[in-house]
Amino acid sequence: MDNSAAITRESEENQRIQQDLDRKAKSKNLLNIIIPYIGLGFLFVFFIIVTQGKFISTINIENLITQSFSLTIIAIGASFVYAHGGTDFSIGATCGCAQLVCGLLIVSGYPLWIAIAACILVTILGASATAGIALGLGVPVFIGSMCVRTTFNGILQYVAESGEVVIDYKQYMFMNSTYLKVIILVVFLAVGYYLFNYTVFGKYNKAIGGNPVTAVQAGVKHKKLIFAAYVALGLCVGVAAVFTLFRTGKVTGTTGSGVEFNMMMAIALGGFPMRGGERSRLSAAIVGAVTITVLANGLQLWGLDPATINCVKGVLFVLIVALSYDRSDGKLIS
Amino acid sequence: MLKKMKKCMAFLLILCMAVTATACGGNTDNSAAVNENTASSTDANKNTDTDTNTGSETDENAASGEELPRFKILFAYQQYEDKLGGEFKSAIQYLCDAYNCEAVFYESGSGDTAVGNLESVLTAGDIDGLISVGFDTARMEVASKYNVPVVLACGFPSVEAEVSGITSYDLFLGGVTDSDYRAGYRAMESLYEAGCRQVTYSGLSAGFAKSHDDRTKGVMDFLEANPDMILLADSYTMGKASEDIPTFNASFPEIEGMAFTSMSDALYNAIESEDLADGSVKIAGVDISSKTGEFFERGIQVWGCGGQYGTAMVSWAILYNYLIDGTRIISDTTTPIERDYLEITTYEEFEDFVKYVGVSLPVYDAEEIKELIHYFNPDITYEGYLSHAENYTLQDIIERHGDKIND
Repeated sequence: MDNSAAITRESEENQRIQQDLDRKAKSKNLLNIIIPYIGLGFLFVFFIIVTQGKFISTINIENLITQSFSLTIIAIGASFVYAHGGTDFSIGATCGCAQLVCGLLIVSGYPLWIAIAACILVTILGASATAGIALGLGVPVFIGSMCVRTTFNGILQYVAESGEVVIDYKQYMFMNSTYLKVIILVVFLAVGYYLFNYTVFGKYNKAIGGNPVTAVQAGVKHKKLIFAAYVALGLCVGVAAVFTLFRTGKVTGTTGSGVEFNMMMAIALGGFPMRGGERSRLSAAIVGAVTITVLANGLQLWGLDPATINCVKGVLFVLIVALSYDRSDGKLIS
Repeated sequence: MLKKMKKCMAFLLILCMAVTATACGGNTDNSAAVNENTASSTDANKNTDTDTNTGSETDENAASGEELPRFKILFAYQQYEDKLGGEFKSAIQYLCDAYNCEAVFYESGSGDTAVGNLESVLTAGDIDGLISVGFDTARMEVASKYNVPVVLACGFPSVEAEVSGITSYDLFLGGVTDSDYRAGYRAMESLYEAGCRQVTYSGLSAGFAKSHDDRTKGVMDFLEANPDMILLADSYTMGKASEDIPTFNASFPEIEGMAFTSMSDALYNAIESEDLADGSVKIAGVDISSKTGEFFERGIQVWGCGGQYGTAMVSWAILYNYLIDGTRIISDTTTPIERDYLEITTYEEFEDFVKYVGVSLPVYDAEEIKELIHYFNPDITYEGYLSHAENYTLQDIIERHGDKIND
């Protein structure tokens, strides 16, 4: 009887502790979700004030949409990769190379649809190569991505050495239509959201990120899913590459450089856990991508001296990452 | 929970502090903080000292600002931290101060970022004209959307599609460029004339900057025309040329000459560290830095050049012509006005360069620029600009400014 009472008391105590832990975890989770939105909201309000309303003028909203388009599309694909704890340093190089292929096909007279298809194929191949090297050779994925990055950069610079690839900008101006980009963005967001939250593709990637051993033991075909996640990223990078080419009108030896770091910064800023797992949210990556764009746009609009812009960006990145970075199982590169 | 809320509040407060501190350095009237001389532009008769490259209090004949309309001129360059960026900023600020204009500077960036940056800066409003180092059709489309005329400085597209794209816009007024191809060619030619037959070359990554690509082309064309000059090695490592020097020296002890697409103190230091500063190896390259004189004096450097900011001043004049009375100097915008660099081949010339090109008065003072502006000089023509470009030499600057600059 005494034992039974003791067990009951212990059980109640455990329940109380568990409820307390659950409450704390819930509030921590809520805070992690809210902080990036607070940061973004603050930036919006701040820039509206200092630019005397120009920040939310029609023309600047259009600018924000076009400026954030590529990074947001890439963020949708990157969410699947980061959800399982992966990363990809080759995004920029594959983006640049894909634009090169697209540009060369266009100037050679090939139909637009072929050039676009080739562009997306290149990025899918690049992402697949990253995953393939990592999964096939059993090396960390960042090594695979660095190999692909070096290769694609080499190809890009080798071809660009003989000169820039320039397309007829005016002929393809319809590809810069804001309405077209909004439609594509909405479609990608909707499909991405559905896949990430309501299909096994999204859920199993999160499961792998949470605990790969448990996921495998539960029957998750982790290699196939990881590979598929990189293919999804490649598809998104390909679409972003297409529209970036038509926005800039040319390809040079440095096209695409820095995209992967912007992507990582967006992930960190949005509060997306670097390790992945069940706390991964597509919205976090999107918020991060938008925040970067808003910051760059707002600072230029505000009219700060160029050197000051870089300082402010650096300080704000550190502040926001310090508060929104998920440290629960923190590794930047797994 | 309370702890987390406090953390949140702290974050908001720090953010407020950070941006407020920045706001103290910003221009609250939203017309873009440039540098500490923005306030001086309201007094157009007074030239302001910005740094050692501008003038002047010695310039008593600056255009009277009171009668002239006020224009807001945007200048775009990759970065202002380097020496050339500082010279551009000073020279353009000097002209804007002299002609009652407001100068706005921004870092252009590259690729997608360049287009976005221009969109944002033009949305800030009220830009009357743009001078850009480096440009493309996409950015010309943005400028056209905001009804901003554009003049290029120190560079011009070489790809036909880009040229035809940019020049199809009515608001594109043309460009003034440095002869980068000739600079690369002259660098190699100088080494050849100094007796060097086994040489190395350090350039910049292809596609990064057209000016450097043109210099490289000049170098390679000279080598092709002179097969007895052998290129032992070349490297294009994104500006890390100082790291090439020990590599080249270790690999090729027979090096006789080294050419660089851009000189810097880091390069000179690397040459000294590798014990190549004994005169056994000659060097030649673009841009003048603080150690250039020493290397000329010791007979190590055989050729150098600089003075690009003068080109930007001429671009400014072309833009100002259009703004003030609609004059278009360049009718065929597909062909830029080309200007040579100021070349230096001796220590004495280096001393003159430092005295007359980089000190108290820019290479063209406000009164001299008036000659290029139709509003003040109705006789100025495109041919006049070409003739003006041909006269851009160190000797010409000394003749014009000799009595204005004290020893």
